[in-house]
Amino acid sequence: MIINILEDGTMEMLYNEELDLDEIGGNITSVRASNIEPTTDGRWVVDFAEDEINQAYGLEQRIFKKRSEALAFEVKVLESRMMESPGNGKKFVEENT
Amino acid sequence: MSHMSRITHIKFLDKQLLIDSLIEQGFTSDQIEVADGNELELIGYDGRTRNIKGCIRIKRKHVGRMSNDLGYVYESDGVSIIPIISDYDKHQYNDKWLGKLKQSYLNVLTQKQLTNRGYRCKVIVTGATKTVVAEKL
Repeated sequence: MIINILEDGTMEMLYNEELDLDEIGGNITSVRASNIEPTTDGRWVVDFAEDEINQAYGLEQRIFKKRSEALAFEVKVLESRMMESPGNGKKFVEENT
Repeated sequence: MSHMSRITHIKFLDKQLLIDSLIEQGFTSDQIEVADGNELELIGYDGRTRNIKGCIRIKRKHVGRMSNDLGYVYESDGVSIIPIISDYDKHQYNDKWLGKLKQSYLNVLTQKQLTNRGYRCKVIVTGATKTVVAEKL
């Protein structure tokens, strides 16, 4: 799990329920960042909300035999982007709400 | 599917963590006075009372020349702690400073929560951002 804590005192992360938000006491806004859907041939495709990511990873790289593999890929890609570009998640949420 | 979440407007709910964060921002422990409730009178630059009592007080001599006492006050819910910073002192202790204070607070709070839930945490600093990387043990 990756949590970016920005210098303006806000946080960005992939939604999870491991953190007790009541203890943090803030406002949370969540926006769908990706989707996983079955293909007609029984595989699973990851579709990111940001076209830029879909373009960076071609369709064949985003199709998996198992749904669990698709889920792991999805989280890995989104979290690696959070590590590379802190603040992008915050911007993405702001732009999509 | 995953959702990107943004958390804003966090509240200071843990007094000890807030004190630790103030120390991380440069105050020393002997400069920070602490009471159980709103018992510490805040004094202005002119030596007069500001008619506000807080649970945390940093005396004006530690805040800056011509400054007022800087304080933290329990809100009426008895749980949330809010800063009391005079307009004069907001030149130095401004939103940017408060953001960094919240960053220090969240850094410790998130690691504390995740460690209690069986994660091992490390912090990576990239520019002004602190990234908590948590791995389930």
